Amino acid sequence: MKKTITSFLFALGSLAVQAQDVGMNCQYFPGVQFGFVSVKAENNARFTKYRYGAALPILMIDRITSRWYTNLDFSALYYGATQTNKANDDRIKISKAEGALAAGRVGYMFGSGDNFRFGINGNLGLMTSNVDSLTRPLKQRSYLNYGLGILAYKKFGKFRVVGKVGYELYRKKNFVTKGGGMYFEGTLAYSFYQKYGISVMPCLYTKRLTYLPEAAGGGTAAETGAKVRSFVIRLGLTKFF
Amino acid sequence: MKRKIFSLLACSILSVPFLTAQDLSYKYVKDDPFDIKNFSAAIDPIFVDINGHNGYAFGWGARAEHMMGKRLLANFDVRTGFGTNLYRKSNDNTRNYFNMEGGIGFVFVNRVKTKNVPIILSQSTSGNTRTTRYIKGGVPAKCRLIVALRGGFGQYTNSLNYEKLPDSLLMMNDITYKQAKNGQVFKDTVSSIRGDIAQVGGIAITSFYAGLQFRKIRNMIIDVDGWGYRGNVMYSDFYVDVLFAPVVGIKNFENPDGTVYDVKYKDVTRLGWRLGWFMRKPKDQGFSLKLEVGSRPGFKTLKNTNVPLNGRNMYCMMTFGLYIPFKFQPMYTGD
Repeated sequence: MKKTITSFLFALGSLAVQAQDVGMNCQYFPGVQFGFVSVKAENNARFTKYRYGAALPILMIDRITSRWYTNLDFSALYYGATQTNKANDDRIKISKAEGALAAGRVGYMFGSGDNFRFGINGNLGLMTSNVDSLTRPLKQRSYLNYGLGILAYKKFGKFRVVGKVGYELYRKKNFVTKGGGMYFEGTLAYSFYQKYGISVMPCLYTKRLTYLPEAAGGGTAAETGAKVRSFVIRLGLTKFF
Repeated sequence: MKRKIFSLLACSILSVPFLTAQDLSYKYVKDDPFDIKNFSAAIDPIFVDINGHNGYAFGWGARAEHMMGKRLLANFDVRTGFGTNLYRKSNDNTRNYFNMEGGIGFVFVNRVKTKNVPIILSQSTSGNTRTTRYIKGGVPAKCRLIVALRGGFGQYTNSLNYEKLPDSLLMMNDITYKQAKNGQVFKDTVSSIRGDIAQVGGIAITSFYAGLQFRKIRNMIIDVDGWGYRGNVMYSDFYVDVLFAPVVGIKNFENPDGTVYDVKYKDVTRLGWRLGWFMRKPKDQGFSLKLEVGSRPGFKTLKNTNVPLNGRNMYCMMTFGLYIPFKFQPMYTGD
């Protein structure tokens, strides 16, 4: 009798179980991040080295589906917008705008089944780094970024993990004459209510830029080099497929 | 004439082989406008308000809306600026953009009708041409309509650009703005760098609103042979409100020398209006948009104009954010 009831309950329960699709949508819209950014310049008259806490607000969507990977990032632009009142009133000590003004990634995922995917992606966009020690985020100059990356996705029960590595080149006439950098991003997401959950994304970015610094009286000074390194941990809401 | 008719008939007959009849079959996966989540909370990381008071403001906000049972609606909306034009925290005369409102609605229509709704099968764009394939005549779907009489309370503050106001109607103590501009009101005679100071102040409006709210809910998904799942799913609101403001206050203006000027506008109107629209999905979490245009109470329309609108009161606001829907009791699931 017990066996019959158990079997019946199991069969009944199975009706309520919904199959989950592959992937997730990490919606840092809005989201927050914690970390630091360090800038070392080799030959800049204004400074040689400085370090600051990473900007808190971010605006980014990172989405993995069964076949496609897409990322839209406006974090530096959004941070700049959130600081407009403060910047207009000269209340910012250093602009923390670092990363994407408007950048995106598109990738294709390979693999089958519910648990694992592997993919490659292309990156393109406009980025900014405060290599001129400015205090107004929206006055920072931008540079073009383009590159390639690889990523892998794995599901462990209620956890989902993503790892991304990529290399990007940076260019902008009259600003960045040569530049390149690598990024390492990981995502750990946990589903705590139906299809919804949170994700944590630790990221490390290293950039090496050869650029024309902004001169004190306007225009540009002699070419110099800078190393920009940032480590941030992002937090945001996530929707699971 | 005969030749024309013959040509027309011939063309019609010849075109027959090129006509393709639409032969589609589908089955309903879901068609229930009551299968919804009746509460949603939204975080809006960005809104933009273009207005006649200070030009523009942008910032962040939060919203919530709740459908309580069959007869009651509730809504709440708050926005604060992080990019308010002309606002300076260091200038006490100015104010940051802030808007908060909340209200309830009494539902007097809550019905379902079956109507044919459009179903798009595919859409593609090539150059300037967009090709859309859809099910001809649409698909019958249960469409829920809610109409409510709503009302509530709102508080708004913002910076106010004096320069855009008629200089004979804006009064600073007992002199007009025109006279004040030519005098010492906007001169900084205290600081070491003496010069003009910003002709900007602050405005605060406390208002009540009443109006009609129309909510449409469709929640239909079909499985079309050869095309897969297609649907017509919407949860959108449209509202029309009249605003009445017992308080339209312009902040006192203080010169750096300590003189305080009582700023008033001669021709104040207590009435305003607005139209708004917002949307989300009935059940799923996603991104939500709200758009609002209107005229705030404040400055009366000038007498020498034929258009019954004062541009200084006009505004257009758009906010966009992430919402999460929930089911909260009491819920109405249909009779």
